[in-house]
Order: sequence, then C-alpha cells, then structure tokens
Amino acid sequence: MTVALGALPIVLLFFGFPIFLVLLTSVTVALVFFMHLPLAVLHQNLFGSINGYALLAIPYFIYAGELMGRGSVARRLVDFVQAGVGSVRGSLGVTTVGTATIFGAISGVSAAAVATIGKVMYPSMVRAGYPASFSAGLITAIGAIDIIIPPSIPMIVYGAAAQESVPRLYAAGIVPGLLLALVIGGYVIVRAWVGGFGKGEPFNGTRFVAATLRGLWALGAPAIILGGIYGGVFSPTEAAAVACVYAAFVTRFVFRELTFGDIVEAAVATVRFTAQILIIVACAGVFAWILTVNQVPAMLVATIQHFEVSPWQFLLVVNVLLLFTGCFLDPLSCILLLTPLLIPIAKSLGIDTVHFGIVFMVNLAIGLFHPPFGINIFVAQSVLGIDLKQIYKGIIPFVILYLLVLVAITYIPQISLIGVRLFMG
Amino acid sequence: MIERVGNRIVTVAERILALGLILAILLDFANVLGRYTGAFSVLGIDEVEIYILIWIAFVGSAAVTWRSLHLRMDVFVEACPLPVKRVIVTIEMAVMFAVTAFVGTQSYAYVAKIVALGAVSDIAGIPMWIPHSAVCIGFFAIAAIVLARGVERLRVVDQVKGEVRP
Amino acid sequence: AAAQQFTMKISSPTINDLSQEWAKQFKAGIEARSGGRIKVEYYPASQLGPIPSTVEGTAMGTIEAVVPASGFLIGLEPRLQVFDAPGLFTDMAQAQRVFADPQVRARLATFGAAKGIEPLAIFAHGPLMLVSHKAIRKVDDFKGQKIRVPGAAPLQVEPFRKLGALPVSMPLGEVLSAMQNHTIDGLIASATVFTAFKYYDLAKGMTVLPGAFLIAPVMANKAFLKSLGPELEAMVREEAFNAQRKVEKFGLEDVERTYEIWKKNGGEIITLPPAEQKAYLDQVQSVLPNITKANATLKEDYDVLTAASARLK
Ligand code: NA
Ligand code: NA
Repeated sequence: MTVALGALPIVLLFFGFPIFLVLLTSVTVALVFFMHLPLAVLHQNLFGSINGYALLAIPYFIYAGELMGRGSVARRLVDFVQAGVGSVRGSLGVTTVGTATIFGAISGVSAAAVATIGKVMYPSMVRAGYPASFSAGLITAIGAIDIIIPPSIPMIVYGAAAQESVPRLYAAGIVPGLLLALVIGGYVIVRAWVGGFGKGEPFNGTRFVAATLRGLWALGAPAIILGGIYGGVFSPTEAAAVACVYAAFVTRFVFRELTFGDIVEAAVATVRFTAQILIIVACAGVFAWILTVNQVPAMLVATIQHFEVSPWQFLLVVNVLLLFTGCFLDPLSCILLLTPLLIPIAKSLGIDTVHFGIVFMVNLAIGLFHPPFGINIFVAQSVLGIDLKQIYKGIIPFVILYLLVLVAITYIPQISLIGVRLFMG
Repeated sequence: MIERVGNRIVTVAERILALGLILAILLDFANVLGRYTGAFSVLGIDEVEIYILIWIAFVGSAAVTWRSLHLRMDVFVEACPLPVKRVIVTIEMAVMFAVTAFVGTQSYAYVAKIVALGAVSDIAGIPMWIPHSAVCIGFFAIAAIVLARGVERLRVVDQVKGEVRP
Repeated sequence: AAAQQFTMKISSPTINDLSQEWAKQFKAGIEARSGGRIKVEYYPASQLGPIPSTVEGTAMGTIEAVVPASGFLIGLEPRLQVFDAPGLFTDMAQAQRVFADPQVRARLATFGAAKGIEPLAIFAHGPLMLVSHKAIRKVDDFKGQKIRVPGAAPLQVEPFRKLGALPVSMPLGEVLSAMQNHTIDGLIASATVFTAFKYYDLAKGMTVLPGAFLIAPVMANKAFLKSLGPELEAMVREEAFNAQRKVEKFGLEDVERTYEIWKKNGGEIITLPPAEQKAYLDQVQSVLPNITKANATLKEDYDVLTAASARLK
C-alpha cells in the first residue's frame, strides 16, 4: 500500500509522466492490488471532484483573461496603471502585485488568478525588460494570495469543517493578505533596483489623461466586477461570467478588435487550459479519497498527538505537515482530509480556530506554488507557455518570502486576529 | 491518414465544447439579470453549467492528449540521453493506455448502473447519465488516441525533441 | 471476539451534531453486539466528498451509508420530497414519535427500495428557519424577498412563491458571500446549520417557519446489508433504530442549545404570532392539493404520515 500511494507516484512524477496519470496510476494500483473496495470508487470520485460550482470560476476567469488579452483591454489597463505610477523602478512588478491583490478580492480560486494575471501582465513585464523567470515566478507565487484575501473557497470549506464563522475568517484574512502583498511588492522594487530593470517612463500629465481616456472601457471591467459583487448584484462566480460577457462585448462592439470567430477561438483555448487543470483536480480527488479511507490522515494526526506537543511545537508540525501535503494535493482536498482531525487538538491546546484557519490558508497558499508540484506552477506553465525549469528558478525567492511571512503569522496570532476585531467589532 | 482524420475530429470536438462554455456563461448571465431585476430566477442553471464543465474537463482532456499538452514535470527526462528517453516514453504510453482503458471500462459499468438507477439531478432534474458519460467517453478517447498514435510517436522521438508523447 | 469481517463507512456532511451522536451510539451498539464482526467508520464534515457524490456512492456501494438532508436524496428517490410538505409535524418531539411509530416505519422502509437503498434510521434534525437581513415577523414580510431555498422540488418552491417571495437556487459555497453582499435577502436551513456557520455574524433575525423541519435519514446500501447475512443484517437494522431512540433527547436539547447560542451572539429568534402562524400555514398548505394530485404515491405517503401525526399529537 505504501508502495502504491507513496513510492509509485514519486517515481512516476520523476520520470515525467503527466500529473493526472501519476495520480490515476497510483490509485488504480492501490485499488486493484491492495484494497477490497468496489472499483466504482474510481469513476465516482473522478466525477465527484469536478461536480462542484466553485470550479466554474476557473474557466470563466480564464476566458475573461483570454478575451481581454486577445483584444486590447488588458494592454489598456496596464498602460493606464503605468502612466499613473511613472518612473518608480519595478512599478510594473508592483502593479502585478496590486492586480493580484484586487483580483483576490474578486475571486476565490487561485488558479483563475494566475491564469488571468498571467495573460494580462506577463507579456507586458517581459516587453518592459523584466527577466522571464522572475516574471513567471512572481505571477505564479502572487496568485496564491487569492485564497487568503476574501472571498476564498478554501476558507468556506475550512469554516464548514472547523465549525468556524466564515465572515470571521474573511475578516482575519485581510491583514495577512495585505502583509504578503507588501512584503512581495517591496522585494520586487529591491530586485528591480539591484537588477537594473523595470524603469518606467517619467510621469507626464498629458500622457496620463490620454491613457485614462483610452482605458475607460477597459477600466469598466474591474469596476463592474467589484461593484457588482460588493453591491450585491451577483456572487463571485457569477462575476466571472459577467466579466466574460463584458469583455466580449467591448472587444467585439466597442473596440471592434475581435470577430465572432475570434471569440470562439478564445473559448477553444480556454477549453484546453481548463481540461489540462481539471483532469489533475479530478485525479487528485480520487487520490485524497483513497488516503482518507486508508485512515492515513488519521494516523498522521495520531502520531502528532502521541508526542504530547506544546502549542508552538504543534503549529510547527502542522506547518510542515501542510507544506508537505500541499505539495501533492489541492487545497480543498487537504482541508477536507485534515481539518476535522487537527481541530480537536488545536482546541485542546488553546489555539484560536480563526488564527489556525489563517495558518492553514497560508500553508496551502504556499503549497499552491511550491515546487515541484504546486498546481499554480502548471497553470503558469500552460498559460505563459514558459519552460518549467525557468518557473522553478523564478519561484524560489518567493517561497522563502512566503515562509518568512508564514512564521510571523503562525507565531503572532494578532496579525490574523486584528482583522476580526476591526471588521467584526 | 490517422493524423488528418484525428485532427478533424479533435478540432470539431473542441469547437463544440467551446460553444458549450459560451452557452454556460450566457445562462449564468441571464440568471443574474433575472434575479437582479426580480423578474425571474431559473432554478438549476448552476447544475447545467457544472455538467458542461464536466464535459469540458474529461472530453477536453482527450483533446489535450491529442495535442500533447498534458501538464507534467519533465525536467529530469528532458536531460536524459535519447535511448533512455525512448524507454521511458514507451513505458509511459503503455501505462497510459492500460490505466485509461481500465478506468474507461470501470466508468462504463458505472454509467450503465446510473442509467439503470434512473437518477436525476437534485434541482434541474437532468438525467445523471448525461454528465457521467463524459468520464467514460473521455478516458476511452484517451486510450484510443494513445493506441492510434503510439507507434508513430515513437518514430518521431528520434527527430523532434519536445513533442514526443501523447 | 470473532475477526472483523465487514467495514461500514458512514458519511455525513456535518460534524458535532445529532448525526454524529447517532453514529456514536450505533457504532458502540453494533460493534459490541456483533463481537467486532462489523466495524463502523464514521466520516463527518464531508471527508468522503460532497453530498451528491456520497449519496451516489451509497447507491453504488462504494460507501455503505450516508446521512444527508432528505432534499439531497430526491434525485434518487422522489418519494422523499414528502418531508417538505408544510405542516407535517407541529414540533420536534412529535416528529420523533411519528418516526418511531411501527406503521410509519414499515412505510418508510420501502423508500428507496427500487434504487438499492434503505433508510436505517431517520431523525428530525431541527426546525427549519429563515435567516434574513430584514426580520420577518408576519406573512406579509415575505413579499419580494429573494430567498435561497435548498432545492427545486415543487414542495420546496411553490409555498414560497405563494407567499410572494422569489425563491432562488444557489450553490452552498456561494450563499455566504451572497448573504454578506445582500445578493440574496435570506436563506432557509436548520437552526443547527446557522449556528455552526455562525450566521449571526451576518444577520440577526431568525424566523421559525411553522410546521417545517429538516429531516435527515440514514440511508444505507441494500446490497451491503444483504451481504452481511441474515443475523447481522437484522442486527444492523435494530441497532440503527435503537440508536435513533437513544439520541432523541439529545436532538431536542441540541435545538435548545442552538437557540441559546444564537441569542448569546446577539441574534433574535422570531416566532410568528399565532394568527400569523395560521395565516402562514393556510397559505403554504394551499399549494398541497395541486402537487399531490399529480403524484399518487406522494399523496399516499403524505396521508400515512399525517394520519400518524394526528394519532400521536
Ligand atoms: Na480571494
Ligand atoms: Na498543491
């Protein structure tokens, strides 16, 4: 069993098998040779893992990004921000961080953030002289703050499993999310100075007004999305659908850049990206299910309990455990597997379950882009069309920055809890 | 011959899925308009959208297989000498055929059971075999693609560096 | 004790509630009586997957039993929509008496038979409540409200249309954001769900819907029960029912506990005045004849349940 679920996937992964096949082969071997379960488990969980509304945000946001990127919506947006920030070094990189933060307030699905921001920002960054691997690393890593900044699907799932209030978790996620954005934004500026790239043009009033006018219709996209969600017109997933309709309308009828044929072509590209990502999500779902019924998470937790650890040791162990599982599984599977088991221990040690939830989220965020297996890496590989080695190289500094912030968030509960006091009274 | 016919089929399938995506988005948009104006709220649109997504995921994966676009971590394999690479690719294709054909077969049995059960979706009342059959069709299509192209792909390994696998 | 022969995986979407209490009692009962031949593994909080997936898994035999709200089983066994009929029970205790009644149990045992599933136990999980931004204090207040309803069966939708509300279907994962941003005005669920998710952080008014309860059956795979052999099969049914009786008190107390939690967090529990309750029931029950006319089985099931209700006042 350990061979089928532990050694086999690592070997197959190493030999460059498609990720979906790595997971699917492992569970098939486990089911056929080691377990006494109906084989219907395979289909049931492949299907069940995709049978959820939240995943719709992935194709919808990717499609919106495709349309904005194929037309000039994306470029007009970037031009507007660029004209506004002027000649600060690294400004375009900081714009990427800011965009990801705003996107985080729209979407609850990180893969969608990486795909959309990648489509919009990556070409501009490379054109402006940013190294490709740095740009790809930044985009892959920054998309992960999406699950920390509300709304967040993983937080909802955690809230259900931990019986914690989702509005409280949302409030708690704001400060850690902004802290991450600040740290990474600061790093981008430093790197740009040291590397001598990313110098923008000096601020010029006429140019700014022109860029604003040129960008008005494009600016409508984020305005409608944010206004629509927080004004109560539509839900976050619906916002993605509205963004697609708006982008298609503007590029087809206002800018007249795309034909109906182009709009269908953008949908074809979206279908490919979506299938590439979701087939992995489906197979990871079966893998997680098999782990659960083999009581693997329960055994891990029993081991932790056995050592009678102190709160800080427990949090450390949880961090390591989550970083490890986060490398192999998607966030939702991790939460479903581990939350019901870890929460009783956390409570018995007097750890606040809101704080614990945020620690959970930051860990899973790192797992999203942690080499070798974070799903965002593959999203970036697919969307940016860039070499995997380049992405790995670019990601490393961001993994370190996230880990530093994780340590701070783990051991200073106030970073998470201040938001609850501020926004929930 | 296989290449030409295959390309035609995959291209058409991708277009159909793409139109499905556009339909799902328009349904979602219409529901937002209806609810916001208080005029109507169609129950179960979300189920239709999810089932379209399921078709995109599994049948789309067959198209991804045809176009050799599956996501993988190939840093190590790319660095291997050609003969080693050939062996790994052969094993991978054999495994992929065996596993996807096996899963497809199991999936077929499952779909047959769903048909017998007559299960329908909770809200829209859509027969559940419709979304379920995407899994079966998707995996059988992947197995078929691996089989149809296997021999030729191995030949190409010698010439092209990147695109070696299904 | 004999070696373990069977594993019974039971999946539930919730945690620390009546379902889990039932599972605890059932596990203790069956493992002791079977001498360890049946091992019960209880998976709370959707560890085995989302509800539709686990319901289907139970029908397919990958999971042995599942404890969802009755609404999630309607796609598989339409007869379960009878529990959405308004005014079936007056209070929790009465619902418990009805579910323990031999005649009713004989009828319920046939639910799902054609789909290879069977209810082992059934409980009233809690009264159904409406949590809304605008507190609902009279029948007239329902007018124009966008209310998220748990399903789209006629009995889940028509009563609210009758009251002048706009029933909305929305996936569970979106509901919380939608409530927070006022995309919807309110939603219907059991009180235990509202406190578990701490909805008092979003809205304070929680209105008791007269005569409406969340019913949760424990649905098991029939082929699995058969595979146990006659002795163990009978034992599972008995122990499941014993556990159902044992947790009745816990079920009533759990509702009280839930109300206390809601109030302690600044929430208000709104009970409609008697006249409004009557007006409410008159309105929502007026949709019944039309719906049962089109469905003979539904009518028969409804009649058996209301007869028992009247008998066990
Ligand atoms: Na977010
Ligand atoms: Na991961």
